[in-house]
Amino acid sequence: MRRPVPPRRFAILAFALLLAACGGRQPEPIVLNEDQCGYCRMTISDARFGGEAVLPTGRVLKFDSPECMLSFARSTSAEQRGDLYIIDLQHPGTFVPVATAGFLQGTTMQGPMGGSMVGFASPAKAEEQRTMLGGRVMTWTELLADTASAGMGHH
Amino acid sequence: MRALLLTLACVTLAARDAGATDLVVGRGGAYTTITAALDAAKPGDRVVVRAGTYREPTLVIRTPRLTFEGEGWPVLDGDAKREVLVIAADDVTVRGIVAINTGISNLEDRAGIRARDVRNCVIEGNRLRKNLWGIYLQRSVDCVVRDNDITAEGVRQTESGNGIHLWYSPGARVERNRVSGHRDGIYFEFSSHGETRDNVSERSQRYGLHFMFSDSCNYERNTFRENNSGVAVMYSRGVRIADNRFERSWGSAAYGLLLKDIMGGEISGNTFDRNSTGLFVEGSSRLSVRGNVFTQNGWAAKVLADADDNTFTANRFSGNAFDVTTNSRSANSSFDGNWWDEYNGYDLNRDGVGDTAFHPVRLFAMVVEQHPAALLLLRSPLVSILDAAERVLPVLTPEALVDRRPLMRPPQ
Repeated sequence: MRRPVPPRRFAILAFALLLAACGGRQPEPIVLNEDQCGYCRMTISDARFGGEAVLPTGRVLKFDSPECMLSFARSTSAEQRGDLYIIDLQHPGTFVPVATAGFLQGTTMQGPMGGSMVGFASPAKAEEQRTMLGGRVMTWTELLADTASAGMGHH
Repeated sequence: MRALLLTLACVTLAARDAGATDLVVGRGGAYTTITAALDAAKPGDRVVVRAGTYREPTLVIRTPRLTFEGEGWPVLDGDAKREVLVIAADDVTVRGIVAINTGISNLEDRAGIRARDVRNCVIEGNRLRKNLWGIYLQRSVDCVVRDNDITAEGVRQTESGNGIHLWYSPGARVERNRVSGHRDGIYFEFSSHGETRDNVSERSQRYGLHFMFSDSCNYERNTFRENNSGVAVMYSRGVRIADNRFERSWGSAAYGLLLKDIMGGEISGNTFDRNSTGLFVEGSSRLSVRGNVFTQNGWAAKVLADADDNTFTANRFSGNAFDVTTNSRSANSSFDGNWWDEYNGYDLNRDGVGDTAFHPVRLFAMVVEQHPAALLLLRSPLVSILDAAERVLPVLTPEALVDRRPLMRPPQ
């Protein structure tokens, strides 16, 4: 006759499964003035900008600005980039998958890297803010392709 | 002809001086509001604001050559709703005021005192309290910011801006200010040819001094103390950082001085005292690191492999847990002629230079670089044995990272 799984072992197994379930590929909250940008090493201090890459290994890279995340994405192969999320300017601390996000490039805002790029929940939301902040609406795919305009620093 | 011009110039100057008047605001003065006095002022006039608290819409100085001066520390209050004072004309001087309480905003960078698109402004001897941003130079050329006392105590941590902020403002002089509690104490962005001297910047939420994309700047005799992440210097060319003190920046991402992508420059005569990492160098080249003191840091100097052609000489390393560490076996910077308290070689010919080379990178430092958790074993006897063995016969540590002429006595 087979022995039933002992309760303690069962509990450990259940806990391990729970951990595995929780350890899904989710972005982590950014701890301001503690976390470092994975690209430029600056300490992240402004909740309105930035983003995260959840790497295939499960490791999370945090970025202080869309520009740094873009530089990271351009210098990393698509398979190694993992899942990318951008912060929604209108809801600091909220992550939006880059595929559905909208961006304004060339706004009047001054981001942490001296750039002027900000992220929104969707291109429609970006369009709504364009009259006030200026710039032009772009998607992530367009930004990746547009190597001329979207760099960091002197512009 | 020249004489005539000279005479004309003199007459014009005299006329201006004769016409210059003092417009007095407050007790015993002709004006009750600063706004009214600013509206009435002519170029070259002086607006004197007497003691008292003034709550007026954002004050904008639009008259060139105006002197705006407080008498008995008048308080200009932003009521947590607006910027306090904006300089929007050339050659304006602001001194002796207390600018407080801009309040916070997600979309505007409100400042206690802002200079906007002007030349030759002087902002001196003011007090700034509880502002989102303290003094903000925006596209302003050749301005002076000195002897100001700036603190952001009472502003919520996550919502603070910088103490002294320069944006596209070349040729600035920032001297003898005290800044505390802001996000970054002093920040140069796209602002070249600046001089930053004798300031004290402490307890910043992020960096005591931060500059990016600001070439040919000089930083000397400043003290940076207990800043959350230390000091960061990035993406600039030709910087000189001399005779400063970098003290007590503790934390996993805290550096006395972080150099990232700096091309050419001098780091000399500084003291790095009690930081998690004293000096961190990444992606930088052609730096001369000379005559500095590294004492009681966790890591005195971390020099990553992508930093090349940097020269460390005549520095003094004492009481650090690790003197030098790097992230690869190759070494592209030179470390000859320093003094290391860990060196126990000899000097038979008495020329002041040790006869055996010194390898400043401990094996254990390399282990910790790969596996930070191993730091727990720092004081373990096993680690000491490994370190000793590695020094005799380097296998894992960068063989090229060596001081071939270690000094027997600390440099003066």
